[in-house]
Amino acid sequence: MKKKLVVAATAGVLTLAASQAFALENLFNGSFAVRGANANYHTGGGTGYLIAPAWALGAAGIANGEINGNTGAILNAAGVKTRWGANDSGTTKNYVEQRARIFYTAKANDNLKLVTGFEIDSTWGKSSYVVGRSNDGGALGSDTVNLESKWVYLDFNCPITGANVKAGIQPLNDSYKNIFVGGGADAAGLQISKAFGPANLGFGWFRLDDHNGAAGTTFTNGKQTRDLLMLDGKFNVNKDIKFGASYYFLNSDNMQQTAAQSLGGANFAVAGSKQDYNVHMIGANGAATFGPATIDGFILYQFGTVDTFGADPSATAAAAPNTSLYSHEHVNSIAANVSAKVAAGPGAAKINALYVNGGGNAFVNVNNSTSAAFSENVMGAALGNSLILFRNSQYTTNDQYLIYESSFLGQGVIAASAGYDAKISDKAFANVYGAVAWTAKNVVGGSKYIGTEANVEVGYKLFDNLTASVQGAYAILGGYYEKAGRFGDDGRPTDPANPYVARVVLNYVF
Amino acid sequence: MKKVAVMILATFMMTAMVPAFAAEMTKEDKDQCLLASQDCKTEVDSIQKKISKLNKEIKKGTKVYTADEVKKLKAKLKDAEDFLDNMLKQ
Repeated sequence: MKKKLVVAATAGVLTLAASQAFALENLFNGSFAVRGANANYHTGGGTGYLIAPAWALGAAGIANGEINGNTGAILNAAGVKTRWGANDSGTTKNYVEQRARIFYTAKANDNLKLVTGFEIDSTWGKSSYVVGRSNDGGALGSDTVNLESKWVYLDFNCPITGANVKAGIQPLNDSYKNIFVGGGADAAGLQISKAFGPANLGFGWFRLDDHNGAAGTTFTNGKQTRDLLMLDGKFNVNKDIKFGASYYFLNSDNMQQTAAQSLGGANFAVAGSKQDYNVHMIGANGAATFGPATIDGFILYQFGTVDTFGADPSATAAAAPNTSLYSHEHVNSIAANVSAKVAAGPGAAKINALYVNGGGNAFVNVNNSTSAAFSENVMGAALGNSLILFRNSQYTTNDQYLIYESSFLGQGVIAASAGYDAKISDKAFANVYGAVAWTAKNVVGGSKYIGTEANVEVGYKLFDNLTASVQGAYAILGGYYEKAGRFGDDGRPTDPANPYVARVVLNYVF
Repeated sequence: MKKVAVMILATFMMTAMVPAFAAEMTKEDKDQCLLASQDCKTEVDSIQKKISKLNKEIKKGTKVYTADEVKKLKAKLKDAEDFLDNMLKQ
């Protein structure tokens, strides 16, 4: 009997101890969006440049005497021109895509938590019973292995120093509206930050790649890596004025890239070529509120060296890309932005301007070298809610824009935008937006004018967490895309049709 | 006596978790949790609700909270806003 009592008592104590050990706060957050679209260029789950930029024109177009011809798809295997080029602008299509994100945070206490994030993307009608993460599982039958890991990191406040530490695969954002890196970039690294009164200091180190060997292969030997160091300082002068300064160091040591990244600038080298670069970046940013108006902006200066192969942005179309010309370049580049927001009427008016250097001193941004969906920076935070012109960080599965990354293949960007976000009622809203863009330098000659976009969005909050909206956007293409479309009846390339997209969106966030 | 005390203690410990699974009853004896998913003890805040609650508490300022507590609430608000922002990025 005594023995039984001891066992019972022990079991009881263990039960209590176990329940205390698991006294975690379990936090679940997430989002789900389903989008139905009608468009002439956008595709379900599509990524990359909405229309192949002139810089990316293949040798086929040049051989046919069409400087602004089309991409390689214009010649079929027999060397005969096909009627439809890769810039297929002749068809209107519709697609529906969905994206779910689930975030689970295991919070031990106020100072310690593990944050995880997962994603499931599907394009309706695409595949079933497969193993893959390319928006699979949307076809009849569904059953698909397509759960992606997005974040896995530890977040704690150090009891010794009081600094906040984030270690693991986490969101990576610069302090420059994600022109350099961020807006959805997730990376493995360490971030430490600490507040000192009105100031905040941050340090970050991210291991972007660990490469060696032939193009597309990856190793983890820690010798040939691409790393990013970030030092950020922020200072709040008062509640209306704040500014910050940064030093970033991007070092790529003998990195290999794939064909998908084989064009232009420090971020792009011919497949299989080796590439070393080190880029220092100094930046200043600030924001000030004057009554109903807020003005903010930044300036970035880059210097360093870029060794690359066959991708001299100042080369002519006939010489680049896809040659094995080695170049060693000094980087001496800038990017700058200014934005203003003024409360007016039932909403706020916004204007934005952005300059990103192009040509021989093209701005070096951070892109992905292990995936064909390679952009890891956005322009939406600097230029507003574009749906066609600039890649922005809005939460979509489709990821196609005319200017897909901030250096625009080493050509740079000069852009301005204006918009008005109206709050019609507690539940209804409407946004209008317009933007225009040029390249800073057109490396193949011709017009720098990329295009002008106008878009409108009307939405309604069905619940606090669920918003239904309708979006419509239309862009007028500039001279930059002259003759970049499909072939006409006379066998000559035509100008591509102007892009448009209309979407119906249901968005649940919790 | 000692045996009895140990047994009572063990029983108490083993049953300590049971009330957590009890149904929540309203004053009208209707289980609003089952009926309308309201007033559930296990209910957690959505991130928007959390942000809204934090804003509401921060507004109370130093009339209710100490300066350090307000600072802590503001840090939590920034944390929640950053989390929401990153949740919805590409």
